[in-house]
Amino acid sequence: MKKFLTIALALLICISASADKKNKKATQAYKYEIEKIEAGAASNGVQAVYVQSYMNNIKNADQVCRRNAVHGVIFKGYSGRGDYHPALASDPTAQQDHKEFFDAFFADNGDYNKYVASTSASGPQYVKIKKIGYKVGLVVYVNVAALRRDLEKAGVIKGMSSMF
Amino acid sequence: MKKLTLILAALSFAAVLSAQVKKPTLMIVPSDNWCTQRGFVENYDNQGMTQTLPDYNAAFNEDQDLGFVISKISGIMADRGFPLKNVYEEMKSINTTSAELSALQGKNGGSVQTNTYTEVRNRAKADLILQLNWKVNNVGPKKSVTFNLEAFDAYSNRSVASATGTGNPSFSAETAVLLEEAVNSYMDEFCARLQSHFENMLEMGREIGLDVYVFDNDEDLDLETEFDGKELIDIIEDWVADNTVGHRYNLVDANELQMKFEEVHVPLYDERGRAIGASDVAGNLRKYLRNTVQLPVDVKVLRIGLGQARIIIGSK
Repeated sequence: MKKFLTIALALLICISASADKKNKKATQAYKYEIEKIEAGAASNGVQAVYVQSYMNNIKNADQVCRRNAVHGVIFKGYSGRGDYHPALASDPTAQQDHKEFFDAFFADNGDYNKYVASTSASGPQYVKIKKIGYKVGLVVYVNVAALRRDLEKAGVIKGMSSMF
Repeated sequence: MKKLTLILAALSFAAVLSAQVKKPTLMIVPSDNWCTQRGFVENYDNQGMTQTLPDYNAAFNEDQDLGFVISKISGIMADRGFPLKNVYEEMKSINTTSAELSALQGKNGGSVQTNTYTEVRNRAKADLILQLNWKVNNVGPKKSVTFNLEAFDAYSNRSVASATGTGNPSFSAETAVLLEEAVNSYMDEFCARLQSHFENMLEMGREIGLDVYVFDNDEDLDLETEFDGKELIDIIEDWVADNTVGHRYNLVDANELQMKFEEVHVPLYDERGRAIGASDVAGNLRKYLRNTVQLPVDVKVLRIGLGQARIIIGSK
């Protein structure tokens, strides 16, 4: 009996540790800071944002930053010098509610790429941080107007006129 | 079976249509302050008192940036599914009518005082009026723009959303470029606030104000007169409670001669999809007082504005 209890306890610890690792990985995937920058007049719905992403290694750093920029515009919102741009998804549970859609949207080479107009010519800037890995900064130009329009059409975010 | 499916589909389509609520109408105008600062105002004689009101005609014809900013904002709002009413087109239509009226007056020799400001608001019947204001700041060679956009509920005159701020100073940018930057910077926040107002309005209804007055009458009737053992003041309050969304209203003043209701939440639209204003609610109360309560005196409804009406008992 004692042996059985020990095995069960060990199994439980293993399962819990694995779940924790999975969660940590998921959080790491969207660990970033986003702010608006004044990089020329934002015209035709394109906004320039500066994204600083935290990652373990710098493989695909450019792609992660692009994805985080689009993620930030949809779910986090960003502010500039005295102006604030709320998240496109006003509902905080939107990502969970439409998990299938957003998993595909943010997958490698997913549709999020369509809304990245360009990135800064100088490329990403890397800073090595102890224990965390790297902080990678990149200026990303996001076509916010097109992104909003398409997400509203897909029914995953609420538009201003959706309630009428 | 196929017939049944078709009938069911038609029924569900009808249900979806009836569940849809009409979109609020939005109209953008330069703010009163903006017009005053630039001298785009006109004076009217209002029963002996001189009243200064914005002159939209002069503003649109003489200011080069106004049309540009309004068209930029209109583009963004149309993209969000809310095309703005074109105040300039409304004015042109009003000016044509005014010209026709003047011709008629010439023949009859009479004169009618009209002003564009009141007419444009009454005729456009917008649910929300967006007031736009900006100021160009010059500090040495640097130039920046302070921008303000505020939405007012045309019914309650209450501010429901606003966005304001000062953009980055620039040495070389033209005013039009600074204004474009300002619009791009502040519209997202403005739209988010407007959206939350719409959500609130759908849930809580539209706010109006209602006044009830009793004038001298032959029956010596006042609001404390009883009908079937109930004072008229209570009859009216019960009616208001029964005809408001969630029984939401605020009776701020009540005595034997007057009642003043504020923040009366009424449904947005009637069963035919027409917007419900204060005068419609007052009209319904008048019908109730005349037909159901059977008041022995006349009841009159005065429309003060989209969101305010007055009921006068004992006068016709």
